[in-house]
Amino acid sequence: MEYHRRGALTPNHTRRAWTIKAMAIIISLAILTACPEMAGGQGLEEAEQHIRLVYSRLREAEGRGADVKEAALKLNDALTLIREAASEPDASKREKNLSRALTIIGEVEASIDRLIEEGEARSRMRTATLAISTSLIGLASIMAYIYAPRAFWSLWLRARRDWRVKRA
Amino acid sequence: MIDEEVTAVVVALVLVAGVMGASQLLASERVAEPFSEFGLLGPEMKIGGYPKTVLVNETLRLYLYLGNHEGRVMYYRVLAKLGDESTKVDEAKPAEAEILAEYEAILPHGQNTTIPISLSIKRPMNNARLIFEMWILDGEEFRYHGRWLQLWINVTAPRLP
Repeated sequence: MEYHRRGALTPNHTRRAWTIKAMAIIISLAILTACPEMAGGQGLEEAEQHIRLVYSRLREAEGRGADVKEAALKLNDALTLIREAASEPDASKREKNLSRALTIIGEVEASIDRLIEEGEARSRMRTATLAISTSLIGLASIMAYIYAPRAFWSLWLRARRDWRVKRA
Repeated sequence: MIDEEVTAVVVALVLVAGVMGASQLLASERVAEPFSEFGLLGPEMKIGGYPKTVLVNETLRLYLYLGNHEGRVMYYRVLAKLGDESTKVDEAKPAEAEILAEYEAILPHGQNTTIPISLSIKRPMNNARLIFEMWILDGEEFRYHGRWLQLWINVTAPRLP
């Protein structure tokens, strides 16, 4: 006759515990496979986080004078792909969409520094143009102050050169 | 020696061109009144032809129109909510109602987009309100932008054969 301590596991108990654990793992895997949202959820979440980060950088770049129109439209395409991936039941298509979205986001992110440089150059050019325009306006105003009265009176006299003054 | 009259005319032309150029340069990147466009289009992608009655679980196909004139790139999120006559929503406070779907778009200044939407309502309702709210990404969080739309609709149960 065998005696076991209270709470200790018999070989039967151990086998049953292992069976329960194995079943739990199989059920979890089955649920993960059946639920595309759960399986791809992490990837989607990462992509969403990444897109928000790149969007923030894009706004920062725009604030520094960068022309972000094309980059923003590309980011919108990536966003559409992420949304499509989220509602795609086919795992391979979902992965494909996500991968394309991540590629686009990466491209946009890589282009931000160049956009900032171009924006800063454009901003410098704009400032220079503005400075030149303002100087020209100032110079032209001074010249107009000097020459305009003389030109006006000479034109006035020329227009009336055939006039005769009569004694009233 | 250049004639004084010619000089005066040239100076006047330079003055006008300079003022116009400078004003254009200053005004080109300024947005006087920033705003966002937000519209709901019917199944034909036009304003009108909106469904008044749908069946439970019937797919409702509409279009959302978004336009950005805020002077900067914007990240929009539109929440489609299901409310009723008692649901409160205004420019300051979003509706406290069940979210049916959400749509997102990133738009640069001066661009617009039309997003196809498909919604279905799972229970019969009289005077149901499909409420669409515009949210924007502000820092790390989405913030209610104060723009909203609604579509009144009756949801009927399908007749049993």
